[in-house]
Amino acid sequence: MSWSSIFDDQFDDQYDDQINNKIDGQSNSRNDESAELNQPELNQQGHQRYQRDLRDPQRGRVPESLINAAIDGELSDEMQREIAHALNYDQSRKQDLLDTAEAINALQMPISTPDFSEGVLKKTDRHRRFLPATWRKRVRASRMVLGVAAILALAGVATIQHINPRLTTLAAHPTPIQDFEQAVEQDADRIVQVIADEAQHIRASIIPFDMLDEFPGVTDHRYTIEINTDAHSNQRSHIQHQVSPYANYSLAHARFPSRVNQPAVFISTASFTPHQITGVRLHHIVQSDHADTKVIECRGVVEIDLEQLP
Amino acid sequence: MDRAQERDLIERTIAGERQAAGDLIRAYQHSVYGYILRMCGRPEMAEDIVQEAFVRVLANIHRFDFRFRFSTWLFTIARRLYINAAAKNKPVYDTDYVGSMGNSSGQFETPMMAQERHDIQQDALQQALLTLSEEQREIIILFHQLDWPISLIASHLDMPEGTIKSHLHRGRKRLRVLFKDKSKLAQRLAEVSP
Repeated sequence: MSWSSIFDDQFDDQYDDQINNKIDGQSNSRNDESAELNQPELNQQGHQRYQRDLRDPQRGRVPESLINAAIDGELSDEMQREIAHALNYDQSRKQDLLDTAEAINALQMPISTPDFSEGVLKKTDRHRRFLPATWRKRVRASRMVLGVAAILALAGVATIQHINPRLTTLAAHPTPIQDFEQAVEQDADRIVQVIADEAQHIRASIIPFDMLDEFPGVTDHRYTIEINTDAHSNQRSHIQHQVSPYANYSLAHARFPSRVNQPAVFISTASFTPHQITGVRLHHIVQSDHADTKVIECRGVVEIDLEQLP
Repeated sequence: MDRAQERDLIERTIAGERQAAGDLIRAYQHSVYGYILRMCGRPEMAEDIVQEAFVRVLANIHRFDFRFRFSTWLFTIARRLYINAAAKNKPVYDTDYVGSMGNSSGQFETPMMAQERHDIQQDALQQALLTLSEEQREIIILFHQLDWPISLIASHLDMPEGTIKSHLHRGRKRLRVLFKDKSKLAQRLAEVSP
């Protein structure tokens, strides 16, 4: 029986009949003594017991906890009948219950609901397509095969890379350090060769040294040396000339930088006897920036025998 | 829907049957939408939450444990989504929606006055519900609107049954007072408005 039947007048009348029948000594199937006691007018004893059972002895009202229990569906039909009857004598509580019932009825009124199925299935399709079970198994198997193939491919690439790294390198090949060293050596050799080739030109330009014989001693004489070459015209390089005599006499040798295709001025400041000089050694030190970071230094030595000069 | 039917629909959905998934949605959309709508008071928010709840449920339907009820799972997800959404947007009742609730299905052929009274009631009810605390509102909706037993509500909300009852009784008492006041006020406003 629903708790809302408490408000059913017919139900209450039936209950009254039951009580009256029992009071009149007629047969009654109800075996609940409290039912009788809910009719306070019937007898004084029953009235007192009713008050004890269903009403708050302090206030003389039907306890709210009992009403709540009835609404919560925790009371038997018999008990609900008793409450329904007792509420006839507690109009305030009955009105509360009627108000509660109205709110609950409003809560149970139907709500218009939009159909979500299409929208949900459309969204779900993006996440997980609805496929038959057999197809789903095939899709799962295909994914596993693809996964295994990918793992095997990666393992193969790793093995090849271990054996021959160059085969699996997608980016520009890295330059091993031994290649770099080899390149530097080759470069140095090439430069030395270039300088050696230029020696003839240098030899031709060294003619002014011949004047050393004409002005012995401290002469402060200027000699201009110009090394003409096309070999390093585009390189950042400079040439150092170091002039020293072959003889053991002290000769302050001049050492100065110059550039190719530019005249270099050499001033003799040493005190020496010209005839003791049998030759001049020119050290051409070419320094060149290589690969931005590496400076290659190579030395070419040109020995000029003054006596052999033309 | 009994458990056997429910199980059948779920199994067919897991097997990839689109029709079964649609039936599953249609079987529960009314209750879950009613629950969320009453909780938040805004139909567009409720629609978003319910749709997302169904999407999540269907995306993970193969993980469903048949020892439990599908509705419990669905409502738990919907509730979490509602809590997240409510953290961003405080529930506000959309009074413009009053007239559209409960009658567009055409089940109730009521005269204009009865319709107006119904609308006023719904408006008053939603306002009263939103005045209750979250717990009281949710428990009242689950118990009285969705007919969930106390034990299930306790499990759903992870609270002792005694606490559920306490919230239910206090909430119902407050709802009664608020609903009555708001109904009267709404009735008066309806009477004075042209």
